[in-house]
Amino acid sequence: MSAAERLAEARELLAAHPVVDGHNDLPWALREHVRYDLDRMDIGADQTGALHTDLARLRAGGVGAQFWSVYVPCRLAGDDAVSATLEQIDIVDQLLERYAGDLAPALTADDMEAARKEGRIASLKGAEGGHSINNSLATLRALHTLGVRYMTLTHNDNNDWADSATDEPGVGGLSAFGRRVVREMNRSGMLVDLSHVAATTMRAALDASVAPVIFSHSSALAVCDHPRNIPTDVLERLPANGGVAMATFVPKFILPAAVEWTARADENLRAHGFDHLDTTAGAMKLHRAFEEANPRPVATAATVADHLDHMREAAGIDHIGIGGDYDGTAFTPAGLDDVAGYPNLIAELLHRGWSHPDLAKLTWSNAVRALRDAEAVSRDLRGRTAPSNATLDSLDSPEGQGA
Amino acid sequence: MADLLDDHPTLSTVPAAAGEPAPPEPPPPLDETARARALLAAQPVTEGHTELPRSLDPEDLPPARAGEAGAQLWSLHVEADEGIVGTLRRIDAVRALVAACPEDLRLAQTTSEMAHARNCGRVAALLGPVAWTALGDSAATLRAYHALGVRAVNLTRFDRFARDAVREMNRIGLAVDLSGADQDTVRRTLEVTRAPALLTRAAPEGLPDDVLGLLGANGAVCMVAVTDDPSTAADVLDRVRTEAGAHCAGVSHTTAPAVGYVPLFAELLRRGWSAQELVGLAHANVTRALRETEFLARTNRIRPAAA
Repeated sequence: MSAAERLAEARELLAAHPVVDGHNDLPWALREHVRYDLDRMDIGADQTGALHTDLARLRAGGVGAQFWSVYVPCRLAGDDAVSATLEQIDIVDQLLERYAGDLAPALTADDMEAARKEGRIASLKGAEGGHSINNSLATLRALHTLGVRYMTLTHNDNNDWADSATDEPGVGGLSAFGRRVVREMNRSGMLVDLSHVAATTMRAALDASVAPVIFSHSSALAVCDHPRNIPTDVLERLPANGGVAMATFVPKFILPAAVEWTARADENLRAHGFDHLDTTAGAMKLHRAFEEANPRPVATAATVADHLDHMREAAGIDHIGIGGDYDGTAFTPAGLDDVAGYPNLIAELLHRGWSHPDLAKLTWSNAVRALRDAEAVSRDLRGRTAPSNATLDSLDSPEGQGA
Repeated sequence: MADLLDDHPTLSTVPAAAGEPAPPEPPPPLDETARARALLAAQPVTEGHTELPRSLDPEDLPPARAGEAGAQLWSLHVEADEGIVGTLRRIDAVRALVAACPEDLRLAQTTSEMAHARNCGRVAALLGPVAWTALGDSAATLRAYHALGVRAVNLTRFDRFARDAVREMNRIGLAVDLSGADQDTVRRTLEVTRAPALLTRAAPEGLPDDVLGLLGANGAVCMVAVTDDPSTAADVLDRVRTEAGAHCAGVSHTTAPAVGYVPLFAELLRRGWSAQELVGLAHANVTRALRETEFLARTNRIRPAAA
């Protein structure tokens, strides 16, 4: 079969079994670029060059459901983080109202299936980082009421009750309050998302959760040694948990050469007295010179497929999915340049011998099943347990330890 | 659904059983207390202000069913430093209280749901008002509160955010509560809002007559606190009736639950308030204001969201 035939087959498959993507940062991009002014950045029009995402490319990419990230950065704390999260939720709701012909609000697995039948893109919300609830279980429940269906336990920094993959060890995984957050998410029907968290947190959350967990945008540590990826022993626990690991496309997490290149580029900045996150003119000039002398390694659809092959081996075909992180990453793999790229990944997997039923699980049914199972756990827990009003102090202070 | 305004109280006594030989003595005319009691039995009060305990400890929660209330607005006021999370905690606590007392309370987000709760023999619980300091100057927060069921916001200062916020509240159906606002804030808000304002804890003694007149023109409802001495609230309500109109009278809460509202309503009957005006005071005026707020939102929502 030729490459063109495989691509045609991939498109046909996606028409019947569209992609559920675990993570897209369009809301934050709209905030950063145009202060949420949807007239100035209309995703109903072609935004190629400005955004990874617009409606036509979502359609071309075969996307049938999208978890829109209502991310806010860790530098926001307390009420500021909550308030910004509400603004992120609000802009998603505005998008749903404005583009109602293409985007369908979805709160449940049934809503996802209904949207697919109507040919609309089921739109769900995911919060990215426990700082969005400011240590308040009532706020967690409010986010659920406002339509948030997963919460990543941390972003890049630790919070008071969970450790991040990209921070120093803090509470050593999850604190007692962190475990209560997980249980309250189970009770509410909000998926526990373990992307961004430390491996200790992944294991602690799998111990604490009685509902399926997800990794909204994480790949395999065995294929590329980066802390944002999932260790094999954690992947191997997904069958018992029922969860789904959604492979991400971010080159600096998935391509070993890109990991190494990024480390050298950061070291170059530090050697010249800049912080590696510095974006001032001087730092950027230095960085461009480095990039000219050292071409940036390019990931491809095959890089992502390498991860999916391993994740499939470790977790099983029923426990993998896709979470591109479009508009949340500056660089994307060749062929997966924007949200129109998913057919290229499916074509690569067809080339590797993945069957249609396997691919349908990867793209659509695994993620829908995880949400449906989380709903069932929620119905059960709501019927026999009261909402928790525990506080960080009551569980994590020295007196409250072990509660 | 039948409008509560149409439910006039039955003030006659039970007729004599048929077949008795001699016509009974005509009953003595009802005194004001008996008439007030009958009126309140048929027309329970919508209270503008019900408080959760500060601690939110389940042990401290108030009794679910208050004496003569048919509906209650649950205050979500927080200290300035409690902000949004404090407000979300209070919303969560009211929802938990309602869920724990399904025989007594029912959450209501519309006037139809208020009437329905009453028809089911439950006290309708409305969420609000929230404190102005709990908005974080963000229209998105306003819309989030509305989505969580909140139906009133207490505007206490007319800052830069207020003009847009009031228009957005009109658009989505959140009542503007002017309790505690100074007369300048009241005047400026009334210039902007197109829906009737509420004063869930009205203190009209702080407002000059012409401002009461403006409130009357707006259709605002001044909900007045009642104490164990009915003449105090009656004096305030008489002034509201004179300067703003009887359609602006409402009840906030009572500081003497054991006494209740019967002495006040009896006193107002003695002062010449009609039964119709007292029905308005009990609940019809605030229901009308909330219904107009809903209606305006339905016709307004075709307009785009404020930034």
